[in-house]
Amino acid sequence: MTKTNKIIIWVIAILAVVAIAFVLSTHKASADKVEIGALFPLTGGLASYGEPAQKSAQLAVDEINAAGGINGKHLEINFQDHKCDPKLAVTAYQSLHSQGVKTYLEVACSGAVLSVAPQLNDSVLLVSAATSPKISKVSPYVFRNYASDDNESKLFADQIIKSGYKNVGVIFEETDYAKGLEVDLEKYLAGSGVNVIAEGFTANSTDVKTQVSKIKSDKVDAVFVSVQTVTTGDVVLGEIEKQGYKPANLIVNENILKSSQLLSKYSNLLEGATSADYITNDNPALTKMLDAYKAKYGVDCPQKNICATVYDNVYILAEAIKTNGYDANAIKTYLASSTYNGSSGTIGFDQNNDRSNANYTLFKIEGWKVVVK
Amino acid sequence: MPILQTKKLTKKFGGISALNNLSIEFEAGKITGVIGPNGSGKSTLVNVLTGLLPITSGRIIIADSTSLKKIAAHEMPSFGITRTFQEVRLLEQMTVLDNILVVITKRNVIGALFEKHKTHYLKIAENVLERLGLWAKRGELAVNLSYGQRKLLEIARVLAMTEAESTDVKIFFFDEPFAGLFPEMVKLVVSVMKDLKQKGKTLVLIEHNMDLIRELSDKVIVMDSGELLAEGLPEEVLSRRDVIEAYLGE
Amino acid sequence: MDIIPQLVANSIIAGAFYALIALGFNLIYGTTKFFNLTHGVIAAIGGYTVFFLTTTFGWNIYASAVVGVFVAGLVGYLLEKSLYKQLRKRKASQMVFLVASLGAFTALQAVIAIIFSSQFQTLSIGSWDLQTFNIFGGIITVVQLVTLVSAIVIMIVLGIVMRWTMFGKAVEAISDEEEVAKVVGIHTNKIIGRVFFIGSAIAGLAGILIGLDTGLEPTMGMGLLLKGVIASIIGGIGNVYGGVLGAFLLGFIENFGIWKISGEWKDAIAFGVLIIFLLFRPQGILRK
Repeated sequence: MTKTNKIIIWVIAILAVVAIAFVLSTHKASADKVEIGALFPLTGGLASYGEPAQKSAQLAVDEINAAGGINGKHLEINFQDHKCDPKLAVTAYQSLHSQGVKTYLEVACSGAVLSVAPQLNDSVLLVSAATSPKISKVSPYVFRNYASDDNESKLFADQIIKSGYKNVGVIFEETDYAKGLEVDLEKYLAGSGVNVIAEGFTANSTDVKTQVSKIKSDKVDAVFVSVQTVTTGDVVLGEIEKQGYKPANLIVNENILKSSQLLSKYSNLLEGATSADYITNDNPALTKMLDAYKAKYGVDCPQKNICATVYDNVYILAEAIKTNGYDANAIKTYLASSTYNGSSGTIGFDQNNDRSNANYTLFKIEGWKVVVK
Repeated sequence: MPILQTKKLTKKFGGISALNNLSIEFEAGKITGVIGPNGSGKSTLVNVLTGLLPITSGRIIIADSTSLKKIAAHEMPSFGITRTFQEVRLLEQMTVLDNILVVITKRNVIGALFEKHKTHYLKIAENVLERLGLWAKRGELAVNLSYGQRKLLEIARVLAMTEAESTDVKIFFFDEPFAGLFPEMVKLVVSVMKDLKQKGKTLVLIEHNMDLIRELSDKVIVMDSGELLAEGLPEEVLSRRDVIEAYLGE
Repeated sequence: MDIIPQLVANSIIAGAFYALIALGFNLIYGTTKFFNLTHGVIAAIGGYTVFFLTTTFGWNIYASAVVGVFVAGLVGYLLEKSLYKQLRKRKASQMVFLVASLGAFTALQAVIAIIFSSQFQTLSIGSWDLQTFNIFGGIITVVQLVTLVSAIVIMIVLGIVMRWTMFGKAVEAISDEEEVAKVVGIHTNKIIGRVFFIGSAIAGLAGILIGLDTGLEPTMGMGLLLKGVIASIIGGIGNVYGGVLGAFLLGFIENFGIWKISGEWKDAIAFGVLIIFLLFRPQGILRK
């Protein structure tokens, strides 16, 4: 290539870059629409939550726009996929924030919420299905329309003590949520005389052979499996099966409970296992929303409590913006002081910015179904 | 009849012409000496003619039938060209024997798996190494040899190429092969070169030692600053005033 | 104490997988002195090819595996021909090679994610999936056994080829002094191309076996590569046997290392060992 040609190509390249940058920078949230950012696990190990969350959020948006939008303006949700990775969540947030988005939704993956929280100073984040106790009061701008799993650990601890188990083995994934359950379990079992043997593994690891071998050989009375995603749930349960281990008493966290894929694949192993989940009560608004969901998408919502709370979150934010304007502090005040009646029931936020009176319920896995204990 | 020619061969490094419009010929079956002061472009000429460096302009013609712009290094032997290096390049971490064996044996995967006539190749290697007095050292790693032995091994390798099955080497470039050799070793190498000529090979010899040039060359080419200064019979060229001045002037 | 047989089994299983990765990586590094970062994603390509053939066309797993290994080898070969060869021609520095292979790795991984989505996928050999063997108290599955056998067989075959055939000698010559090898008429590019094919095919096999054992994810490449690199460095970089030795050592160190301490430390231990070796014996245990 001759020198002149090289120079020409460089000039064109630079011009192209400048032009693209210019176009991108002028694409700001325009004045005639209201934008909410959604940080969801649309793909990856918890896509089973992210996908129905996206559908129910969009359902709410379409309803609101059909009813005239927000003070006449069109409502839009800008969905971003963080794959349950805290780093990607921060990147997604920053990218939306630089475009002027100040209101956010999030679903599941406590780690993602915890990493985005410190960045918020002029934005509000309304969370569903992320249950780590660390989210309580993590930031004045973060509100959680869901229960804290601190509750879940206590339920498991009580169950363990009641059943008279002396040794409990825990296999947990190193994430805020999954490890948090293990740590809180130990906290609630302290002083009770129950011995906890905990084996952790790196997030998303695919080799848990030795962790399972150790628990198996320690001959524990019960095993608690706490994983972050359906994928790692598959790995851990798969390894337990491969080593021919059938724990006498199995406790699993809700990510396993709520996965129909795991329930059917490991039906033998999971038979009789204990778990817990936050569920909302049935009410007419819930039925109406679920019917609308089915009508719009042709399938049932696979995670009712997620669909309900995310759907409600969109409405809550819409109300807040309608009443107090698109400003984080104004919305924050609104959320802290008002109650809303939605498909998931009555929603108010306590002094920790958590949903008031949200509690976990114990479940037992029988056949493919789950029944309340 | 020239077996190798250059026509207006030019090689530039940045703005500097290491070779400038060089048009020379090498006669088949003869030994051509190439001399000139340091920096006159002798090594560059060898590097270009053996494909280690691309040329800037001009042509390289082999055996009058193929007109080429550039030859790739590993294709050299298939065009019938090989060389030694001024600073001696061997397969350091391999044994003396292996340095010769890689030259003379088949090297594709399938052929290698069905190596027949292993003794056949060993015999060839033995002959070549014996000739250069290196058979006794065949198990030594090349890196452990003395300087003189390393130079001899390189000559042995070049000799082995005449025995290689897959190539028919006709042209041999020697880049200062005698530097640093004891007199007995010099005699040995001289006899190897004369044998090669007997076999009809073409040799190109870059040397500073004028006695050896006189003894071996059929024709001498003198280079200065990348250009052809003089060419002709050794006696004529070496007594020319401008040639002497070129050397004295450095 | 009855955990020890299982720990030994776990160590050997892990070692076998690492060994397959290290074998291909070491072969390529030994020949070209090139840290091939795409090695990990090529393993993934092998696995995903099988996934594609079995799910989209319904082929049986064995035929798909053969094709998968071949495809992986082919991708490695094409990368060498289209990218690395050009860099070698221009005498590019190690840095440039690393960056180029990192770029190729990222691009290939992205393509896999686009075509197959980031969801976790598994391969299956049908009813043999859950067949296990109890060996001296340690339990091992069919796939794991096949992995172990493959690693050992490939190691032996490669060792023989490298030492006793002229192809091996030519490879050795290239890794010693590429210029000299060229001068003596060795078609260095052709042989390097074949080395890439063989090394990448082995990686493809590893990817398929991992897909059968645990599963496939587009991002599986980096983790695999890291373990392969650690194994190679510990055992002796550039040495076929060294890579395998290092792989089993790594397997044992990782699994026994967390015997008495919590499992969360597994990766930290692996990297700790790597750092110790880099500081005190960077060439590894076995010489080249």
